[in-house]
Amino acid sequence: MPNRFYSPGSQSMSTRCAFSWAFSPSIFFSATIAFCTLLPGSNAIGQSKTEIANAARIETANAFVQKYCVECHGPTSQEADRRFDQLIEAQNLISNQPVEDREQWSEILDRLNLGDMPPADAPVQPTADERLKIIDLLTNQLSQRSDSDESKSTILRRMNRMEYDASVRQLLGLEKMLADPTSNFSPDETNEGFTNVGDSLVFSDFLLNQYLAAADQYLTAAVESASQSTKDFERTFHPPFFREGNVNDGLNVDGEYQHIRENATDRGGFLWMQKLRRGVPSSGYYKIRINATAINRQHPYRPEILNVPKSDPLVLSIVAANAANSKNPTTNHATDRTLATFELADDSPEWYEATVWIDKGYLVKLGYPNGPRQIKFKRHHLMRAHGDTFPRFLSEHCPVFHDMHPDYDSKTAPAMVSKFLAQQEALREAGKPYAVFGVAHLIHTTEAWKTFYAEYQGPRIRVFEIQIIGLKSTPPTDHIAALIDKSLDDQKAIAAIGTFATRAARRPMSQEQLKPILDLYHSAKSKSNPNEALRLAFKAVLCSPWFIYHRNQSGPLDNYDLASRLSFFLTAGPPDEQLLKLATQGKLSEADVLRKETDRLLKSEHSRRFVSNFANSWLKLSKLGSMLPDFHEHPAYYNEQLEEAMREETTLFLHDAIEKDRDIDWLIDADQSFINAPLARLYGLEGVDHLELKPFKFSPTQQKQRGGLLGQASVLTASANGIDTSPVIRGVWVLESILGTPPSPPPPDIEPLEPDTRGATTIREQLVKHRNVESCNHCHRRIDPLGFALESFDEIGRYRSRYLVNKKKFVKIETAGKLPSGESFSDIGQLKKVLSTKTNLLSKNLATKLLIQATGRTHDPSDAADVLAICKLASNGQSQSKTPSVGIRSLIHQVIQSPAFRR
Amino acid sequence: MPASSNHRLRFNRRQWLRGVGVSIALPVLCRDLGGAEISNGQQAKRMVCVANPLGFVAEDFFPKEPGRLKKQKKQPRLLRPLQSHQDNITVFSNLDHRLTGGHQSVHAFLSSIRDNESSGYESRNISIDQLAAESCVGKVRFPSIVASVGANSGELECRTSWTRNGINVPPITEATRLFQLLFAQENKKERDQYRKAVAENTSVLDAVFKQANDLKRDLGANDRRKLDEYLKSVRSVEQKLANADQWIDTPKPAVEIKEPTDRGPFTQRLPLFYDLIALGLQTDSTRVATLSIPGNLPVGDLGLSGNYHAFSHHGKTDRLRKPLFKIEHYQIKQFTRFLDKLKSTTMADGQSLLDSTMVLCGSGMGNGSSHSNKNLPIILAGGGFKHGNHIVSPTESHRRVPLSNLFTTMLNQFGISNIQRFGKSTGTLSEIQG
Repeated sequence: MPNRFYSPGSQSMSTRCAFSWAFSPSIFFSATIAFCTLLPGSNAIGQSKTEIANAARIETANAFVQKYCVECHGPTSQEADRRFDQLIEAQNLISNQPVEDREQWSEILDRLNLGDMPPADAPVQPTADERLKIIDLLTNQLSQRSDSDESKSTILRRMNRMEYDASVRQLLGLEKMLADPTSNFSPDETNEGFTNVGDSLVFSDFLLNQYLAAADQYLTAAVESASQSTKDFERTFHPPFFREGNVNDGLNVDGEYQHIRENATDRGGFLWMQKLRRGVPSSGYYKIRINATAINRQHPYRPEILNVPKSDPLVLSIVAANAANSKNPTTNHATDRTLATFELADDSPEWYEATVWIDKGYLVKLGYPNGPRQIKFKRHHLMRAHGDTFPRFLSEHCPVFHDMHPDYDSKTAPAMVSKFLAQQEALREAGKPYAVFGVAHLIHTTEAWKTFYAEYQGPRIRVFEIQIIGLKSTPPTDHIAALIDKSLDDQKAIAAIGTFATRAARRPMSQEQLKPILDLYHSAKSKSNPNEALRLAFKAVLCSPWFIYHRNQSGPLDNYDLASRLSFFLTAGPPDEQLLKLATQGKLSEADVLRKETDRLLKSEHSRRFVSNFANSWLKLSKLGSMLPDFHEHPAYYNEQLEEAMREETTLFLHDAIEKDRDIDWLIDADQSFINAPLARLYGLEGVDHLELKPFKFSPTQQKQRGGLLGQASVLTASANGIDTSPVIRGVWVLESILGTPPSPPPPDIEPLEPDTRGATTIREQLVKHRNVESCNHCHRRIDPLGFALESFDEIGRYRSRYLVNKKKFVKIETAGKLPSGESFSDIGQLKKVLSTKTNLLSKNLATKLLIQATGRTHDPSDAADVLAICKLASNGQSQSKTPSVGIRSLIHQVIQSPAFRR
Repeated sequence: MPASSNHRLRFNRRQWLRGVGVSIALPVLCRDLGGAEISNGQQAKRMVCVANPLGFVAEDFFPKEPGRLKKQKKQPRLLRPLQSHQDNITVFSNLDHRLTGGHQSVHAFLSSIRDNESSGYESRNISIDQLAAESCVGKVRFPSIVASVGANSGELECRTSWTRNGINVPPITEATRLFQLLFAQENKKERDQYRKAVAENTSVLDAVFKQANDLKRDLGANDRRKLDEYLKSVRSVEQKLANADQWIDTPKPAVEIKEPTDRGPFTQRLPLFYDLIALGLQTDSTRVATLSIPGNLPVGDLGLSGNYHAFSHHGKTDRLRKPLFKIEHYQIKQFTRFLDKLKSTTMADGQSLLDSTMVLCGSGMGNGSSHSNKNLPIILAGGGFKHGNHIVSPTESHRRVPLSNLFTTMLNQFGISNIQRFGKSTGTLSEIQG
């Protein structure tokens, strides 16, 4: 699909496009002349060694650009709207040049690193040595911040939805609460895929209204969980657990067991307990025990009918649902939360047990998440293929003239149908019961369904008994307990407000800063009671700018700010007690303390949130699930929870890379990943039979296809649109997410290619035409070849060697490509080899993106300089010009230790 | 209306506070049911915008010839249901916002500006409906209704309405909610509770406003600018609470329609939304409404198997174009039914509701198969414009007419005369001005 795609964050490119117009050609004069006058003379006037060295640097850089770039990007020709002749008139060090000039130099450096400039067909080419030297020089120059730059700190930045939710939960001890009071918040504004960029995040009256309403919900939940206890709750449930909804299973035995036979996404998929219709009476921890077994895993049906792999164990899930929203708990609902899952043993009842938090008013139901879907629509198929196993249904409920019947004969059937309909018409006229729905009537009666399901031998979960036992809860913290303290007096209330507001602000608050909240408490108390007034004061704290905004002061970060920045970066939540303690002691800003805390947070369970958030933004995985693949084309995507597994694979892969400080090259090509059975089937890997994702070592052939991010289904699905693939979208993805060198957005006047899939031409042939247009060719010769190599993966990342055209015809996929740098490859395996030589671009890109995630700001010139310094330090000072080894964890450490992190 | 159930009680109170899909405004003193308010000798103007995220197939949609719709040799097959309205509609060719980006630009349909470029504009990417709604504050209970026939998410989400702050107005996705909002009466207890909540929130806002003002003193210029967003929002919510307080005791109009359910198929829900919007306009509960058709609409309800988005990638094959046509045709048929309804509703001044209501139907996607945001399919109906034509704008890039020119014209007709330029407009469209 030749979708014209560019990221919302093409800002950097538009500034780059804009600079060349800013210069007036009239001030141009030959750069070479300028240097002749500068160099020999200056030596004689007795300059310092540094000055001489600097002058040499200036000359080298300018001479290089003059020799290799200016012919196409100079006064006579400005290809791709770039012009460098005025750039090299400058006679000061690049690090001291204005921001716009440094951005141009920075682009020159990127393209030299990429190797695609000067283009392979240019008459003069720098030698390898020249190239390395200039790269080294530019990297050094550009990694120094200019003295004239004001180091800008991140603008006052509100918490995004996820940060807000995590923070309120931590404040109120509601970490496990199932309800999500932010579920109807407007989505956060994004910037280059990041949801935490201060400039983009807007505060609005809509949002404030949402904060007010959400604060009520959180506080109500906090009061509820503080004032109630679950410990006396103990209930045992026996079959039939429920009698409403889709219960015509045919195999259920009252008093013995009841079945779940369909996927939980189907209407009527869940088993629930009618006696727990209103949900549990109070919020807290419960132990849930279930006695169950799987039956019929090795069912007799052809695999493509039910579409559930026989090799996978049946999975039982415990799901909680808000009873108030669940008119029909057998059907799934947006507020459902999966609490635990178990892989069931076949044909042997066993106890399965989990300790889970359940909100007051949530009921518990059981599901079969990897079960077959829509069995009722498969009846037709089952009768045709396996009619002999449904003797009663066929003889008692399915007339031979219904086309579902295996003995249906299209020659004789019409006469029989006419006769049947005439009989029914006569019955109707006589006022007697008749088949209202005509021929199909008989197969849809309750009895017919019961008979069908009694004979149906598909896999089922058989549930014998369920127990729910309340556990003792931990007492609430003092400031929460104050909300329900019957003997609350002013002194205690004011203390509670102080503690709560300080925790909320993540820094000490002065009496003056607290005064408006205390005033609110006093005036509310005079109208109601102390508890109610305290609740109102807490509500104000939750809407206060001290809580809502990340930093409430301008200037460099102090210890408290640092604690917050570190914590929101690495755990997507507010600082814990230890961080705040170190901040109070003033120790956190010490380099080694900061490093130790970084290691501690990276080990914490919340670091997963950091990794998956970061992958959503950096690798654009947030697109997953926004354009779903076709259900009929890719049933496995739904039946086997592939999307979840895809996300999980990438999260685990990155988490492992951070933990083990793998080399950056690992992201491009790795010999292992994390795989479960559904992913293994998608990837064509043998020997995986577990549903949990576990480390998997690729064979060399497998590694060629699947090693590294480019082989991961998450990336390949997110860079397609669910329906088909596009070399353009995937090519742009590689340029943006891997190399960090995004192309300019397409010019507005060009009409996108209209795909014609009637079989005439392939996307590759259509793109060849596109590249014949000069203005398209500039970018597409960089984009398309990268995308071609990835065409060997379909829209959900399955490997393929040919396209299916028009149901019958196949066309072989050509994956070979040649980059503007002259490097060529025949397939994805070779492309990865080429990309492995460009890891310095990847390090720079990764450091840039990490810094955005950490600071919430983009495109700051000082940051750009710091990023190069970060990469240099992470590679232990090895030269940038080779492909230095950079550890991923070291890179994170360097980002956190950098001056940019403290702005 | 009977006293409401517990479920509704909760709904009403929160709904008010969250302002989902609606904004709350000052009441007028007295209105007659079905009466068009006359103010300053001007009849009230109304606006409805209908949008889908995947467009309409161009060759089924656009007439071949410019000029009178009636004189077309062959009616494009998507316009055939609209035959009886040929004098009430205008079809436009070659209007667009000069955007690229496929799905990622569809949300700019009613604004002409993408959300990520909105910071460069003073009124951000405000959409035409929300701009019109601003002028209705104080005149009707709901300055605007923003609805979508069912929930939606991801890139195919219909994010059609945007405020002056660049905030997407979340749509009401359930007909039941829309009905309750427009027509369900609160009982005394609910009103008292609501009043208490208003008082409570007012005092909370008072406290945080003071905190923010204290904070502001110590901030640098850029940070202050950001904090001003907060201060302005507090003021704005306070104002809305004060206004809402005054609406509490104004009864909602009584209508002869039962509270609907959302359990029916899409083929029942889409007409239901249209009916509720028509009633909202007729009772002068609102004058601006926006309705989105979601990209994930359940095609099974139209007797099809597959998915709307997949069909839109037809690649010119009949296998996909046939079901796509069925979905598009259904949308146009229901749009026609809505126009029928407005046409047959006579207001107090003897004019039909369609005469005072401009209805825009279209999409931010020009060609779903190639992901082009060019040549958007646009129909404008009613509203007192000069209709009956297929207006074809130039195709050459330097002479292209921005769709915003049409929007500017619509806003002027709506009575907002001080708008010279809306979004990326360069002027107005004189062809439809009577």
